[in-house]
Amino acid sequence: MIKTTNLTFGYSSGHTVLNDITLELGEGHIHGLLGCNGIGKTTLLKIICGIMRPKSGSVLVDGADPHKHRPEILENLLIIPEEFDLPNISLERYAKITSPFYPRFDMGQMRGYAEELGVNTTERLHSMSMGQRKKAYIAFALACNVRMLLLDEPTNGLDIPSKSVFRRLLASYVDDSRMVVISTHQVADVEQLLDNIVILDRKGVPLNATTQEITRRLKFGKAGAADKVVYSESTIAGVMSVMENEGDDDTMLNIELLFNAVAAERDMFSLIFKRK
Amino acid sequence: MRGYSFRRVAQYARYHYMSQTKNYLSLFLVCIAFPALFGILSRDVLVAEGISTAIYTLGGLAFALRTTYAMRHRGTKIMECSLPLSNEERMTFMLLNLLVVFPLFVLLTSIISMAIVYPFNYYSVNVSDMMSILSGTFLNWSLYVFVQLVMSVSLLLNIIARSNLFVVYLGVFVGIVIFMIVAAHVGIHLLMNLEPGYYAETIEINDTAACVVYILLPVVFYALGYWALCRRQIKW
Repeated sequence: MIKTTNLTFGYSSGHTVLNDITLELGEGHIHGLLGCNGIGKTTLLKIICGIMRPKSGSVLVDGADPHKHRPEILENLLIIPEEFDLPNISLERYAKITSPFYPRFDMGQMRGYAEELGVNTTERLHSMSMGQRKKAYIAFALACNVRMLLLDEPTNGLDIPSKSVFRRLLASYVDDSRMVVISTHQVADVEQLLDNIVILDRKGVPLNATTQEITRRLKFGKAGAADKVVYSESTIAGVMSVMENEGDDDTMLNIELLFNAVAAERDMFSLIFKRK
Repeated sequence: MRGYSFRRVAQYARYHYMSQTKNYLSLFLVCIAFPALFGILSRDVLVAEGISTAIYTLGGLAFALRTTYAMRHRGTKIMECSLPLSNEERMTFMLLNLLVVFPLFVLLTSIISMAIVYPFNYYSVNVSDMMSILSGTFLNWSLYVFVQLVMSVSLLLNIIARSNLFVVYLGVFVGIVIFMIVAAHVGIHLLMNLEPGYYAETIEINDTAACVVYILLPVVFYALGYWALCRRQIKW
């Protein structure tokens, strides 16, 4: 369980990126962390990992402050950053030197994941392309079997076949004892996976709800005359709307439309989601 | 809550050296090549030994940089800093690397470079002479404390310096020079104002105090380094 309370973070230059973030991210879900550029999604992931400290407020991972660097907390937590570098050794060797820190690491699993993603585990990591290296690290990270996996723009640099393999692997990774947090702008790549949506903005967290709850309260598509429209925008498919779901209609969640709607009608969304 | 584990320190040491084998190997070769080259050119094994001593004295700057490299390096620091390792365990590794591994590293490179120069040596120096020269350098406690002083300051800077490390090093160098000039002036001023009969006693007291401060300084800087490590943030 990851819990933040009134968390605020600002850089020394005076630039505040996270403001009054209060949220709970529980196991058994794939959480999508969405927000505009520079809103602090990556910073929030770094704070959860304990490598940055909040200016005020608190963050608790399994009830402990991650910045205290307690190994029993950190061995359940792994981050796949958007940009990273790995030592110039093979994935096999990298796994051998890093896996002792992660007690549930499974080498057989890693080889299996690497094969599915098309990565040669004996090739030196520096001779791989950026995309290949990312796939290699994804294979390693999934094989660590940590309870909390944090992914920052995981699909950036992946080719089209790898994206679908990645989605399949991630879907089978999550169970009742594990969670995945995905910070991304490439919503279309992971739309089918997410079952909890967290939207961040300058004032805090305007939305933190499961996809089930969102589609219970809202519906997406072309509005009819009787629909209570919350937000509309013109798209190439015509005018699409987010409407209140008063008749328990079953529509597909459109995350992009939802995100724009929350950005435009923040207060309205607060009211809708406060209702029982 | 699990306690301190020396096993994790060993695992981190393995991770550190294996992920930086190439870098340490380069440093190792440089530490052999420079003394050997100058030793061969001057046909004097003592020149090689002198350069090895210079490397021992100032090489701590490079070694502290190497010890914290992955934590500072733009691409690897997130993974490196989020490894399940407590601050005490990370600090233990750093201290072992600087207090034990570095002197042994330079001793080994000194022996190899002197062995390389030995066949070219013009002057008569036998193996036991060479060993006594080496032990004079590497068993000299005062030199060891100086080396630790250089490394402890360097480690502290590497942990806290946020962007341009070179500028920080330069700033500290200038600071040390100013401090030494001021300390020398103060010392001279104090001695000049003494009654003639108190010279010997005062110098003895000052020497003891200087000695204690000299030994305590690396301890203080390492302690500050640990404090900085506990408070560090990834945004350097």
